[in-house]
Amino acid sequence: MLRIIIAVMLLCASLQVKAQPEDKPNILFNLVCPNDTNEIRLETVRCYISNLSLYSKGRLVYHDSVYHLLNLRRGVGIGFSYEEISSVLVDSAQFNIGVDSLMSVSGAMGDDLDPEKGMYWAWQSGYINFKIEGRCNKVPARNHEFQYHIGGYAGKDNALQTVGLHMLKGASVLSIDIRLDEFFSGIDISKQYSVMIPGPEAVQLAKRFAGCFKMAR
Amino acid sequence: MKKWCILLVLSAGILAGFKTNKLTFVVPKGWPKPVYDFNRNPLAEGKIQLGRLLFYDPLLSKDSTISCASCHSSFNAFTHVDHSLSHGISGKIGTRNSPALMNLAWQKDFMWDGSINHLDVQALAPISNPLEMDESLVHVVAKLKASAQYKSMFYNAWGDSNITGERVLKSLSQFMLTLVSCNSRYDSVMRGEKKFTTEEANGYTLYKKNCAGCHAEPLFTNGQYENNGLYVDDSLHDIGRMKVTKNRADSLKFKVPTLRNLKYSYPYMHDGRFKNMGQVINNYMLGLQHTPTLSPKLQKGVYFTDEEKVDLMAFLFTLNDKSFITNPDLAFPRK
Repeated sequence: MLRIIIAVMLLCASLQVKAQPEDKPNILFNLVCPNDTNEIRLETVRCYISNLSLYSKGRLVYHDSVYHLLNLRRGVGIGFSYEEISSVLVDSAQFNIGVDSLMSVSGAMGDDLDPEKGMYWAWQSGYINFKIEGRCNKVPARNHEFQYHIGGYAGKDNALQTVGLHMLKGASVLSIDIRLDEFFSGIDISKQYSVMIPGPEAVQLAKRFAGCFKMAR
Repeated sequence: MKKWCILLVLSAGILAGFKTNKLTFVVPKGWPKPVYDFNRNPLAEGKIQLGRLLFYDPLLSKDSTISCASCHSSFNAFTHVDHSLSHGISGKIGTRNSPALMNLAWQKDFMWDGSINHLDVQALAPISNPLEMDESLVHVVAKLKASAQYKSMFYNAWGDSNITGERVLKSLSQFMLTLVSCNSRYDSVMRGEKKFTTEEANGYTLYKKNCAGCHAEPLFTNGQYENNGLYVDDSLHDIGRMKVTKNRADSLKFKVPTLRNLKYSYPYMHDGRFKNMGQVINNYMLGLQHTPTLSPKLQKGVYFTDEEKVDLMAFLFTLNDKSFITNPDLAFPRK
């Protein structure tokens, strides 16, 4: 038991290290893990961030239409041209979590949207907007594994989420926490441990995940 | 002899565009505009040939035993002949009869239930299905990267030797887009080059009255999903389109297949339950299951006399396109 707790603490400590992209980043995503008492061992946290807009006092100062696949286990942040808005203090940001319906019906894509990235369903067309995988002793499934592969683009199953974040004071670097501790605190993982198809449950978890994106304190 | 010459000339004319580097997809006269957006994946000879090699290469499967052509053989109008349910890796049996591949540029979605929304991503399903190829795209890309031949072909096709999942899928699409079947006897009649026999003409009239509502010309499918009155196979419990839409109104609906090349593409239906066309026609006459989602077009039933059945069959035979299934440009690429 002690070994497990230590392992969880070590993993969470490593996951909470801030992302360090190659270029000067203007926006950083930091994973905040569940409390170790939950015994949740995260193995994969990946999500698409797209359609990023940054604002300063209500004015759009930057827009990025590229789809970024964040592999948060490794701590990768979105980087973009620092110079472009270096003199502007950004006070709000808006972005999508996932891949929109138009892109989902437009065939094979490249770069981060390449299906070889493992974020595309094969049995039914569509991107997986985000993946959270790991183990928890409360999960009654094989190897105590939990898996959330959340996507869906059509009609009421559309799981794309738009997030808007605001700060009282502008900054040149945005630091955004992804509060997975809050994600897990709101679900009964002993019952809801495997969601792999589009539908109401996926949309519910997508909303919960979107609510975990917060400006870093 | 003359008629075959005309067919060959026409066939060459349609495929002529694929012979050059700058290719234009030729839409047969009177056919609708293709659904596929060629601007996003412009046809090029090198990409078509790369896609063709990939289509016939068992490397795409986990143990290098199953290729796309295993279930989509050219001689069978690109389906898996003589198997009701197609089999894949290690002899595992799938859950449906593999569809015949042709005229895919006009197809909006794919699979019997429409679960795939674009030709480019279609190949992902059989590649990753544990009953079919049981492989992953990332592994396929890794295997291709280890091949000097493929490096060279990707270079020739795409301008550099970078091998990506996107390029694999788009190359496969390019080859599949060339699977155009438009040189049947019916087509030559429509072009004014030939005339139907009396039986064929009668059959054409019967077809238009009883079948064309779903199997619409010139593709001989309306691309929609219909419940054509089949009883539910207790061993499969296949609900068809409803599995995708989760809408009860779509229960037991399956994609309307084309009537082209029926001679080569037996058995029929999504589970290959009928071995010949006689069984199919008899089922429409005698076996319709009146479930709530039965196609409105079949509510009143269908009836043919024995003579009419013969005439209808005569017409359906005019939809067979031998030049399509014997086209060497579409066959296994001999080195």
